[in-house]
Amino acid sequence: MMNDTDMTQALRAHVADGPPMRITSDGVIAAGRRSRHRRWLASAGGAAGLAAVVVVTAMAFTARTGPSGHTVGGPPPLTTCASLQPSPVPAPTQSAVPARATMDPGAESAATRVSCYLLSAVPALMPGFTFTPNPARRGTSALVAVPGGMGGGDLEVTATSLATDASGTGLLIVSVSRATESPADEDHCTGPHAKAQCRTGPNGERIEIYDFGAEPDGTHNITVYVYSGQTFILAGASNAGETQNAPRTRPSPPLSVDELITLATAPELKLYP
Amino acid sequence: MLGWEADFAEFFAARASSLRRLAYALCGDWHTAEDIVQGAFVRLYRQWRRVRPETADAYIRRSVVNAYMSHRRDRRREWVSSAPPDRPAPPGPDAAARLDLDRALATLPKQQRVMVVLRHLEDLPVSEVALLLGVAEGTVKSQTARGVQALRAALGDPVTRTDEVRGSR
Repeated sequence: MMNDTDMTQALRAHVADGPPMRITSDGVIAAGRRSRHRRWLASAGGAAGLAAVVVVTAMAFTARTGPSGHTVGGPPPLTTCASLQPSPVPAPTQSAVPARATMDPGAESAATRVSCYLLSAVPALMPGFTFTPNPARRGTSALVAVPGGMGGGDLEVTATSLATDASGTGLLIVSVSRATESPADEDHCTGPHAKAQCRTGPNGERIEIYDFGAEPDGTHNITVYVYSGQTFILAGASNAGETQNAPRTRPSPPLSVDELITLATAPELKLYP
Repeated sequence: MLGWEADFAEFFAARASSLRRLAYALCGDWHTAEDIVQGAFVRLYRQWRRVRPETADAYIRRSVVNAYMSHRRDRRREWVSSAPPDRPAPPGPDAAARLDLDRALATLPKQQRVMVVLRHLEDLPVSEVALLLGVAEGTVKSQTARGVQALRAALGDPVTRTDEVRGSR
């Protein structure tokens, strides 16, 4: 007869002899770091709905083929980009969230500036790539910035794009906002929560690099933060789509750490000196 | 590794083995058990600074149970990424009994299996199992009793009295 004690003993014996454990704390921590960062990237997907209902100048742009043969969606007219003055964008108005039919003029200006820069710089940095809208952010155009995106600071604008070449399709994200915290407030490089590799940029910018390598399923995200004056710039690249659990779609991210830094430290993105 | 990650690593070292045993008792496969435990620890890592130390154990146990309960939904992805199978364990005197228990556990509905394992392997009180699963204590008692009864029957035990199943503590 099997009583309760026997049942407990049988269960304990049943689970006693397993194979050696493959998971380690180091492995879990590494996976946790990647997971946190991936969720950070993926969280922007939730903001896509907001971005989609905001009427932005970018929405009026029509798709065309860029001068170097790259297909890009909805670029601003060249005259608009050419007329931009190298001055800070206007200060934010009282409303933090753009209304359905209006947009903060500061955010509008920021979105235009970021779009103009990306539509010029990214194809030049990535010859041979084709750029198409990111399906995780419905209603957006490739490399065209719209308000919101990463849940970051004031006047945040975000541009994304899929980038495809012979190796496959990857994801690009660039977000620019007015910095709401000094990087010294939370030391990501040397403090107890440090997870980034840090560098100083060509113009003295503080750069944080989050690259934890490929996950077990082969997906690999690289994210670079640049603090330049009062501007916070996030540039990210992934070899998978933006949705949660998206599979790997190319061997490696379409941009390297150094290329992301090159992209993100451009003076054109320093919107808030 | 710095600061809170060292605390997390210490918690991992203390709890990973027993959680793997719990997961194995639930799912019956060591690889799946490790996947479940790793996923639970990754989730805990993300929340570590928000989880009070005294509740970390309950948090991760709940995470393991929830992962097991929803395991079927993720099966396709796990097949794709599964590691090579383990070398089979050499046959021993307990192998047959272990196989029998494996089969017997596999016959239980998922929630019933969870209750039996939490009550008899983890030695959790009825109230804690009820809280973890979000069910009434009476449900835990009755379902555990049925589960144990089914195990006894599957293992060839003629005694299927439910009054021996332990009650609330």
